[in-house]
Amino acid sequence: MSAVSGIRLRDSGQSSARHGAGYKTAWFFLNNGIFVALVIELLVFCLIGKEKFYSPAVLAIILQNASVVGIIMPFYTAALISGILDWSTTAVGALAGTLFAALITGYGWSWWLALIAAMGLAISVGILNSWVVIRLKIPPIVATLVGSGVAVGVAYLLADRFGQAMQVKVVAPVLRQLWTVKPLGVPLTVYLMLVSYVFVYILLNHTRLGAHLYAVGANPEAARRSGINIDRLIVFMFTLLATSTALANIIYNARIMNAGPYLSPATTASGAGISVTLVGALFAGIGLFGGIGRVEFTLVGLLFFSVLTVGMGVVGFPAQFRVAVDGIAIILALLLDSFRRYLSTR
Amino acid sequence: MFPSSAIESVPKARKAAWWINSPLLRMLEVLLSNSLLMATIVLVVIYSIIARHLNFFTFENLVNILISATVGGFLTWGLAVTMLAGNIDFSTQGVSAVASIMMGVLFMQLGWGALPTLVAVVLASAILGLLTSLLVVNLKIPGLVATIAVNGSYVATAMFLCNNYQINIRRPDLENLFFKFRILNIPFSVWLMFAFFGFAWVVLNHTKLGAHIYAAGANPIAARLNGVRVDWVIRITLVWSAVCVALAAMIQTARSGITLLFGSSGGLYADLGPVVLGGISLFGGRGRLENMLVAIAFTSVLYNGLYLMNASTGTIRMTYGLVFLIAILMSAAREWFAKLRA
Repeated sequence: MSAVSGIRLRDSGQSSARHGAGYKTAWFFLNNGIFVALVIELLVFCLIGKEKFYSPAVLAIILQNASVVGIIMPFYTAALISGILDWSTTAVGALAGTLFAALITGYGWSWWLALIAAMGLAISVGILNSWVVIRLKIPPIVATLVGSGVAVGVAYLLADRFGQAMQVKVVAPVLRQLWTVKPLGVPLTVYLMLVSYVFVYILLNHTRLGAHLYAVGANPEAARRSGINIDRLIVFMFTLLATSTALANIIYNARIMNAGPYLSPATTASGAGISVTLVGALFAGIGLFGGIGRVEFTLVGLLFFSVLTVGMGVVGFPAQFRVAVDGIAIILALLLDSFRRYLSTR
Repeated sequence: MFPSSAIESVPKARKAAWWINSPLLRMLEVLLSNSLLMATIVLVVIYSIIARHLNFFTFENLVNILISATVGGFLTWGLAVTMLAGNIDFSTQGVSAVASIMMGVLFMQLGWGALPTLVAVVLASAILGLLTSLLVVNLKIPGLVATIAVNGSYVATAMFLCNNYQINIRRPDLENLFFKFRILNIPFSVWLMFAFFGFAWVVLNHTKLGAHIYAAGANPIAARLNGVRVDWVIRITLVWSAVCVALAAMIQTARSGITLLFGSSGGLYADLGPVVLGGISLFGGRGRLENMLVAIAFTSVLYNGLYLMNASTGTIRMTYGLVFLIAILMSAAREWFAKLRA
């Protein structure tokens, strides 16, 4: 077995010759199924929605919707690959957005000062998370609940003080330009998403740090014993994630001109803490326990979810259908991951 | 090249530090294990000073605290038992939505009596618990993730049941059963909560199943090798937690007079806070159910006081978060002491 197999998902399934054709087909669909699913989904919506769905405007909305979560997505994926399952994405983002809005409307700060302050606060929540993980030895899956509990609390306090009905108005013309200026027909946020994808792609595939992230996710104990400073990696990942989450959420707030403790681009329709980022990543083959997956696939996972959300809105599904489809998608993502783990132990 | 030899990887026995038996450390340990009780007493004293004019010490407010403790209590007994078995059940919101809406449909739209409704909802929630256990046990998805995932589907089910409308509970039967029917001037729902606590306590401490729950939580593999049917233990705890959540939701619904889609639980931190505060280990297998009583007393008094003083949503939410943070810190301290004395 070569050193790389087992790290990269693309290689899993090819390493053992003793399995039959069914095994190989299963792996092929697990690795490339997301493309098939996306095509089927587009076809279904085209059939149901007809010309309401396949207009350029709807396509632009799908891209726009994907783009703001897409700024977080690659960083979230990198964290997941290194074994950090983060629940606090929506909470940290909402906190940063609310502080940003409160500083601008409440105190009249300039937008860039408020942006820096909001990012600082988000990063401090990230540091709190990593402190709980490292010092208290509590797995990230629970530790990030602590961070999100505190973050949501502070966000509610801010919204109480500066807003009405848990929403703070925010006017940031400069950031709004990210949505209104459209080179080649798509807003600047889409380019921002691509930049963040390229950054993480290079980080994961062409740097030593990226190899370390895969190693820590696959087997933390082995990684520690071969001299990787895991604690530093965890702090680094949480900081990076918090920064990108804060940035994406503030851009989102600048578009809807409101901020609040539950206004985050990454919330799913069925709510309760599961973020779009987690579901999209699982669909794209990032393992729940880290160590496997390719970041560029998550772009497709993200588009899949965005098409689902926008498509159901355009076709005009009632709310309970939307929540049901959303809930089923989440369970399906988990089933896929479970099936993948089952196959890889065969 | 191997980074380290096998011999090196065996941890060396450490010499005990000089401060391990120091009186200061002993005192800290005693303080930690009794901190919740002391905090509750301090809280009551503070409230009786601040909220003197707000009738904190009237009998009706005591009953109010008890009723709000009922909802929290049911959630806590459910969560505590699942956590002892090494899982965390976060499908609270979904199960309580289904229970609440189903109660509205059966009781108001189909005109069932109070008791048949109660039994039907409890049965339905048990089925939901079994469904959750399919993911946790059969598909081996970690409980924390699986239960949050099914949550959305349960909420959707509830929305389908009521066609996304809220149902007003206008007949007084259920309210009479839960709150007006009093034994020793304390509502039936409160007695029911204590009955559930007693049942769980007896099962955990005096039956084989209880020992198996602790074993499955502490070390599932060792438990399985010793003949414990870990799968079934986890299934049973998940069903138990779903039933507890359903009862909490029904009491909450009967109290507010309207079905609640998102209202019955205060969110993940609010539900998990008292359980961790009371010393149930996050990793399963350690903790005692009787400590939950003190934890529930503490959080109920805390939140009741906040409501009495008309605290803002922000303050209440912040308190949820802080209570959870403190609970985690205390649990870490507990683990540290346990390791020190091991």
